[in-house]
Amino acid sequence: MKRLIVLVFLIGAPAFAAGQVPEGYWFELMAKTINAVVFFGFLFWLLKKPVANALRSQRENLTLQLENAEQKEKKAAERLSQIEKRMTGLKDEVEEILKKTDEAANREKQRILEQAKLEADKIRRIAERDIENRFRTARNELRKYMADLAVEKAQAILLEKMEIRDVENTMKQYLNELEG
Amino acid sequence: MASQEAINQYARAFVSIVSKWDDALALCDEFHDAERELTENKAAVHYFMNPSILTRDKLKMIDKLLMDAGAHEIIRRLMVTLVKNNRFNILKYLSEPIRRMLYEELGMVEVKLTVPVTLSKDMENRFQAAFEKKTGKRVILSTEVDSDIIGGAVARIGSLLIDGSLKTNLVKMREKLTGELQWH
Repeated sequence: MKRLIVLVFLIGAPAFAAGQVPEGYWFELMAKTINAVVFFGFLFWLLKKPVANALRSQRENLTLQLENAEQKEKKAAERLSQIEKRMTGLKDEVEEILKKTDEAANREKQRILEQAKLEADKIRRIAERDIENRFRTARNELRKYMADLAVEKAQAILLEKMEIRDVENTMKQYLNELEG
Repeated sequence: MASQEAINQYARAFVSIVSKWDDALALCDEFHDAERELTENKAAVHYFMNPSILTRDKLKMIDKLLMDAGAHEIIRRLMVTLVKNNRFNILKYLSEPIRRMLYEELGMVEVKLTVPVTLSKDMENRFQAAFEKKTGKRVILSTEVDSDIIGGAVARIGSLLIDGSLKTNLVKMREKLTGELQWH
């Protein structure tokens, strides 16, 4: 109210300072001021509740939004924390998986190497045995061939060199053994 | 193949009769000749094996054939019996068991000697004596010349084989040589 009165005087202050205040000026000013006061008072009375409600509602909304924002921020922070934790765990997990994969790969590699070595040994043994068998067979065939050849040669010599007398001698020898 | 049992039965019956006779060996040879005459004659074999011809006719035919050939009574009787009993099919298998059984019955043994060259009479006698000494029986020696045996001789006395041929010795030598070579 005080401010309103001060305002009214300030509005009339320039005219008063110029020394040209007409008659009835103050009354008119007063009436206008009252009119204005009434107008603004009515306006205030009319708008006070809806404006207050609107402001309160806005404030409440803002508070709610702020709270929501805070909750969201908190949740986001929690999620971030969880994600960070998970990320940390994930890294360990990845390392663990990598380690296990590496171990498994090494084991598999070892197993494959051992298997390959066994297979190689087996193939070598079979090959050695096969070679030995073939060698033995070839050697026996050769010996048999030698024996056949020797006997054939002996037979040829006998047939060529033996005379009737020799043949008769072999029969006599047979007879002697029979008699003896 | 004819039944061995039937063959042995007929052979034994024949031998039991003829072995008592002096000309048993000659009869054995005569039977063998008659048997060959009949079994090598295709028409005769066809006739006597034909089931559509009556046995009575076959009997008349065999009797006539053998009478004409002047076969001995015992041989005729044996062959008639075979035809009568529908056993003509075993005729060609009878000679060998008859000979074997007869030799056995007479205390004789047949020795088949294979030699590379023809034996002199002296050598043959020596062989005969040696085999008789060895078997303790009278030996019927039959010799065969086969130059493939190279030297020595091969004697077959029934199922016994005495092989002293050079060929067999060479075979044995080869086996021994091959065996020895394989072990070393």
